[in-house]
Amino acid sequence: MPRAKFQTLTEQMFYILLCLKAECCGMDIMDRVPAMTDGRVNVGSGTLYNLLEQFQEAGMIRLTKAEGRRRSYILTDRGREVLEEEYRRLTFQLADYRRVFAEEEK
Amino acid sequence: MKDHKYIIAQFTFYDRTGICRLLEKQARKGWLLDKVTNFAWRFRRTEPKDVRFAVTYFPKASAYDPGPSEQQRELIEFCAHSGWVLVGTTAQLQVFYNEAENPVPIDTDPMLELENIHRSAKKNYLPAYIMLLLLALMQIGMQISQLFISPLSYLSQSTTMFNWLCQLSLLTMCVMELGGYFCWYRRAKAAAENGEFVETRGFRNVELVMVSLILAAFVVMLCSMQPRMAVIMGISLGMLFAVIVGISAIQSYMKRRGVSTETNRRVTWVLTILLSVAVTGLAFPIGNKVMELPVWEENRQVRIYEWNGMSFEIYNDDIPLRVEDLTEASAPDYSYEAREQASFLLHRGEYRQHIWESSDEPEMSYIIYTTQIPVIYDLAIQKATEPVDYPIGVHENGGLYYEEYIPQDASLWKADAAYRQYAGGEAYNHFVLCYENRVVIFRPDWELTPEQMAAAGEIFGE
Repeated sequence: MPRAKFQTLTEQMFYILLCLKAECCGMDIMDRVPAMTDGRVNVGSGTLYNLLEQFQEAGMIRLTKAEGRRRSYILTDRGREVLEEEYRRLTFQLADYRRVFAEEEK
Repeated sequence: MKDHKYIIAQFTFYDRTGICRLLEKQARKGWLLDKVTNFAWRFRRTEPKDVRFAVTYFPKASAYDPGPSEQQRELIEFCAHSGWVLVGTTAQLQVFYNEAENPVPIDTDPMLELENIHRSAKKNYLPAYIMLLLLALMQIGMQISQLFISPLSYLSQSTTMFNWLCQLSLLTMCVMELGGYFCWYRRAKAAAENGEFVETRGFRNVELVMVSLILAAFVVMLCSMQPRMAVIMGISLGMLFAVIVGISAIQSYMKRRGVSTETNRRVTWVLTILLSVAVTGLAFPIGNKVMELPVWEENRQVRIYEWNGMSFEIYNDDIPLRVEDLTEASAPDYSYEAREQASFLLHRGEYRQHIWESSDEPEMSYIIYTTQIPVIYDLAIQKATEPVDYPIGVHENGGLYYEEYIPQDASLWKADAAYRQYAGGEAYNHFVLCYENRVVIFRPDWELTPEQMAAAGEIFGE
């Protein structure tokens, strides 16, 4: 079944939003995500472009500055909510994982 | 040694995998793509390189854009930041290359990529192929109706097989492209839910073979046509080709001059409509002028016969059987007329020998169908001996009578079978004669003797 848009976040979405806690532009995000994840996650330039556009349409980020084609964004309250929701979901997953394997180890 | 080469831009729009594979192979051979246009892609000679290519889609772009929009430029800058260099764009399709060994792909989210491809395909690619599919189906419907209305005339036209080849190729191409796209889209959507990309498959090679076949068939058709018809056909298609190339050139010129997308679109559409109407309107007068050229008449050895202030054309075509082969008649003003058409299925010859001036000299006309195909041979007999379904006379007692074809002694005609037309109990000089691969509808205007029948049969059966 197709999942509703941004109900859950992919890794790439998660890290892009995380980067936007502080104002930054698209190219900064492309550098920061692999740095933040030790190269484990990379965001393709096309994917980043599309996600920034969709996040903006969904009110999750807002444009802060446009210097020529270099546009900067920052997370909105709505974006923060979505990110926190994802954080809670991941935390529950981690907790469930630990409980299952902790029981096995006992 | 040439520094550039071109390949025909006959790509399946969404076939990003196949296009990249072809471009990477060319780069390994020392040919790097450096220009993308609607008709051909240009490559320049370089050192053989192991280069990665990426084909991506920008749904907001249009074939009428004077250049990348600000938004598209932003995307191109993002790509450049990760080492992807734009080679060119055509409508929504963008081609990049990257010399790094393992670059981060431009699209790393299959669902987003799929959405872009689908939105782009809905703009031009899918509507164009749906229109072509409808056009092909309409043309095939028209061909079938012609086949039923007048099968023998239709089957003997040299354009028949070419038309079928074109329409069936077009239909196959549309079904392949549309069917291939929707199958791939369904699979790609399911895979994208799991974060996976699905490779695409194009039909470039099959389509190139089809286009080559059509061109070859076209040349064969032109060679087998009467010269004047071939010239008319050549002029019509030449005009059509000139319109397509001309409109494309004007569209490209406006793009180079920076004309806005909307203006370019409107001008292109208006020109397309006007030029299409003009070509259709001009085709007939030009065709008529060509038909009237004296060169064709000389070939037919026509002369004008004046009688009572009227002019009649007298032909001296070669016809297989002449009145003189059967009788002693020899009038100086006989017109010998032959009209032939042929496909590789059936040859149809319609011949007439007559005199414009009222005369007692014998006259005749006949149609000869020649075919090697049993089904068409049987059809020719069936059509030739099929009575018309309306009454052709009224008996003295008021009853209507119909024509019918009654078998005759075929040996008189040295034929395999012979029929004669009767109506109201009266025999008419209208015969259907069947030979090994030939059916003749023979209409002399006098009653033939057995010797004349044998002489005519000898010639018809040759």
